[in-house]
Amino acid sequence: MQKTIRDETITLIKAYLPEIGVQVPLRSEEDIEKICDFFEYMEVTLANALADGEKVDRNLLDAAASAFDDLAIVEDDEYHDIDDLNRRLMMRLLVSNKYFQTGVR
Amino acid sequence: MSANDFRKKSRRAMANKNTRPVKVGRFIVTSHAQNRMILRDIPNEAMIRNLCRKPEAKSPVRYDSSGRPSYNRHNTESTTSINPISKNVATIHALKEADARRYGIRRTHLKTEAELRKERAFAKTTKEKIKKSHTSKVHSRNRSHRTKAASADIQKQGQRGKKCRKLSGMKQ
Repeated sequence: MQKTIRDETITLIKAYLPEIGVQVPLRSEEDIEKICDFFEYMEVTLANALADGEKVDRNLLDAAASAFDDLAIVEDDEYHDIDDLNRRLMMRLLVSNKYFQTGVR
Repeated sequence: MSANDFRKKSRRAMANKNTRPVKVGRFIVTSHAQNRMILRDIPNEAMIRNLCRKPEAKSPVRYDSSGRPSYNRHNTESTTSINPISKNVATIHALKEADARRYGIRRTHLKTEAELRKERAFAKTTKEKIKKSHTSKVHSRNRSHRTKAASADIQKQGQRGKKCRKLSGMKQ
């Protein structure tokens, strides 16, 4: 079954692309795993901070958790459409003015 | 609250953003972990299994930017992220294929709450059916016993009648 990736997840990937450390276009499933691990770690960090009583952006926490759910493969028959993901990511990067102005993602 | 209480905690209460953290064994399941359990459709039993049984593998401890440690505890079906100092369970999710490959864990399918509910309903109906068929069998057996006993009585009475008639010299 193909995993459906929501637009919010694409936005989040775009926002954290330099910190994740992957190049667009994504080449293999390993790149997606790397993104997935990043969001898992982000969720854990924010949830730990929240549990310790710190002020945390709950929307970001939920967005990271949902992005992880979108990207993680937990069933044998699940897979990602990398071409579609690349196309959507490239569209987002091209649309952003910052990319046009500075050439930096 | 113990593991037993956590097993009984309602899903509606767990879905609440400000739900109370629950102690399971020596770990504390945070409100975020409980919320995510609902959204990911993970049953309470899966969390208890992960926390109370010996894990298949543990990831090395990682420190975030503010120096807070965390490690992942992998089961055959799920993964929990834990702060080793405060024992807070930050989150839970089904075991990823990548983690299973990395740690050489044989993955088992994590039954979701919906699947478990279906199974429970099916078990209940089959149990009722078996009970019904058993009771009907018992009834029929009793009925057959009763009829046999009644026919035996009738026969006896008939024989007795014959004997009586013979003794009294009446024609049959």
